[in-house]
Amino acid sequence: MNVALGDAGVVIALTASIVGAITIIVAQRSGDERLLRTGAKVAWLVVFGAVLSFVALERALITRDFSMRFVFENGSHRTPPLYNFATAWAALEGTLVLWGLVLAGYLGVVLTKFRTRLADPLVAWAIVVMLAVCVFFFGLMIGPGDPFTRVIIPEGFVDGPGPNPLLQNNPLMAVHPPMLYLGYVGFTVPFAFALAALITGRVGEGWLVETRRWTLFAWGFLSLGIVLGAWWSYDVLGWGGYWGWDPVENVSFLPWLTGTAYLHSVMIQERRGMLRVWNLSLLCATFSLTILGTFITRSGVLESVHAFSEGSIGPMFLAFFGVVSVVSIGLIGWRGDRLRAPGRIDSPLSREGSFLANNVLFAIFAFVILLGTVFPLIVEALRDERISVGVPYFERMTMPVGMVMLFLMAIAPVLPWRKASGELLRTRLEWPAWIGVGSMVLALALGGRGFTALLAFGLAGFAGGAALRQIVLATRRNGWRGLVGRTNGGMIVHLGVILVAVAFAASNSYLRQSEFTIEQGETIEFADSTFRYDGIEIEDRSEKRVTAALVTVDGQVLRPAINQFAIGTTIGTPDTLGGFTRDIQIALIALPDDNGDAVVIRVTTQPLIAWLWIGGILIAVGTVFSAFPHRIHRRPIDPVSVAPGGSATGGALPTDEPTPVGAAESA
Amino acid sequence: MAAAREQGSFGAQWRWLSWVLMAIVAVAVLVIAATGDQGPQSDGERVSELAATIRCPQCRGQSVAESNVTIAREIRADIRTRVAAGESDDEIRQVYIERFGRSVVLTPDATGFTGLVWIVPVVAAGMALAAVSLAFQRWRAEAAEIAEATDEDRALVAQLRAEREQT
Repeated sequence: MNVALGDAGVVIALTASIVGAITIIVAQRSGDERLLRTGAKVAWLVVFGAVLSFVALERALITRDFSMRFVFENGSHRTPPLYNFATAWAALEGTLVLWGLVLAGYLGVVLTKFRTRLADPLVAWAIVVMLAVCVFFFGLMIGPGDPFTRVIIPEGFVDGPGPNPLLQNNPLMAVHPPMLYLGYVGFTVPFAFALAALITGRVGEGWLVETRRWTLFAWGFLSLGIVLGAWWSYDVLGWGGYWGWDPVENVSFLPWLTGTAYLHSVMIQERRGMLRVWNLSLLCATFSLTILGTFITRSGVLESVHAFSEGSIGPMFLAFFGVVSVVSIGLIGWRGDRLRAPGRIDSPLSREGSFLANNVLFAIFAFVILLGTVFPLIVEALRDERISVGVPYFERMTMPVGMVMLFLMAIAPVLPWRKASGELLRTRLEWPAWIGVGSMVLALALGGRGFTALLAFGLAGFAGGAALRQIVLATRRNGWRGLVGRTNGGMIVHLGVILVAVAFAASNSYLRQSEFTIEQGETIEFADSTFRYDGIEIEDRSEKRVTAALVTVDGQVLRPAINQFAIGTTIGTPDTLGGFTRDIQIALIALPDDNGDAVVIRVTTQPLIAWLWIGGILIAVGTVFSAFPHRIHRRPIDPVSVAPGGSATGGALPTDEPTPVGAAESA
Repeated sequence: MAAAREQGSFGAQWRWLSWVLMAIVAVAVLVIAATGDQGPQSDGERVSELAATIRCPQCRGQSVAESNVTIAREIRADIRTRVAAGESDDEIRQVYIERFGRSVVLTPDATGFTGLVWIVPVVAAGMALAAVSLAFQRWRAEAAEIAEATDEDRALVAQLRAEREQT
């Protein structure tokens, strides 16, 4: 029943994607508006099919329908309800269903939002591109990644193994993957509009303004997903780590970097009409990096602690990545003449100049991470040697880039468009710079040492000051409205990123970690705290046995535990004494042989971990604020974009806020 | 605008003074911070730091410090013995390279083909910087070529704007 239901959903979605795309293309050709509307209706069937397949999967999991292979391999009567629900994305085939659901969701929103503008070729082609992406994913679910296959239940079968124990040990399992997918998949929408602009030749600014908010939406969820992933790692892994430069983390970070670069450089295009090829490339790169990332993590070519599902679909993703790249590059090349924009940036010391610098930095950042991630593969392929590229490499290489980025974050927000004078910088940057110096002095007074750490704090203070300056000026002028809009919301995001950077620098520089063998009743001192081991506490649950060591830290009891799952896997759960300025985390490394014997614990102390999570919240809040319009906005596609019949030079004119020739710079 | 308000000669001087003061404080802080940098404060912490640079041979992309499988624990215990015996960080790492091969170290070599992973990003960054500065040079040259707007230009702009407003 569930298998049939799920299969039906996938077949409906796949058929509807193909039929819908063809219908819309034909309607485009013939100019038949009724056919166009039919195409859109067919596209809604994709949404229906995706929902149906997801419901079927959940239904099978909840009813423990072991005749479905997915449930047979990943389900269990012992799994608690929340984790059982989340089991849908605990293995490869299920993640495809989730991907399909999110993709169809975005398709549905696009169809709703643009229902009155289907006749616009740009919108129609964007829907076609989205449907084409749907064809790939639902095609996978029919072919090599089919979640809905039957299995003959062997005799004497009582219960399945349940999901990977690491995935049923923390409630974030229910939140982090969907967030990440909302981010990943969300980049499909701007990508679709970018391709549509190339196909229709409407490479003017209209499509771009239309997709900026979609990009922001996807970017916000991706940021949230990454931060939640860091939180989860921190809560689970037990060595104080939240970011390990692991391949899976890196590939989720790559589209974030290119997406961030786009959100900045798009403003140059809106304002000056420049960098069209670059912006289109960034959007295409962001989308194809999500596909490449899925390939890397799903094919098993790279080893990762977070890769929970591998299968034979890796090559499919690689092929799809190839197709996306070739199509994007081909289209950009084909429309090259329309993309060439006149105009120039007058001075590196200007808003647009700093956005350009920002993009160079983000590109370098992404390049370093991509190179470091795939380099072991390159070496193995070319030289047949095995090497590892790990944390020390990434920290050393990204640190200078990060520093320059912080510096830029300090300078850029005070820069006017076109050209800034030294005098203006001196005035506007004075207080931010004092805040930077102040943070350094404060850090030194609090005992902070180390050149890089202190430099990072100084630059972070500087950048934070610049962001605060903008927010203060804007709120003084406009009241609460000074918090919303692209620039002001963006500054809140900056503050969040700065907090994360400070937390990153502080926790890496001042991490203190050591292992102790500790007898019952014994007290040890470490990193200005005392630790006393008081004994063992055992709790039996349906899916696991939890053995916790009671450790009293500065008067508070922590319970680091080891979970022994029924299927035989053992996983630790550290316990953390969190604070605004310092976290103490204890992991239980080894259980005592006998009750009353010594245990081995690992103590990790790190400052400012809480700032990571506060920074994450600020990023989310800032993203929402910057999505709110500062002013009443117009519909950008209709009046602004140059008609397809317009001449090539006409299409290349910057149309947003044209600056009269010779107009004096007033800012 | 804010600058205009405080353009008295005293104000201008004070502003420069403020930046000079800032630079002095910043440099002083950085010098103190750099000289006061301590390494690991105990053998146990040195073990942790070293373990973080060695790959766990049986895990999937985790370091010995992060993993809790048997071999990782054994290596940590081994490192502890060696640290207690007074061996240097490099000596200890060398032991594991000989035992498990080059890939056991998480820091790639800076020499030979592997060195490319360090060099290529630096070269790429240099090239990007050169490209951007070239672009600015070209833009500056272009700007120099373009004279002030003539009346003809202004008329053309006015005409185009009028046309746009009509549609």
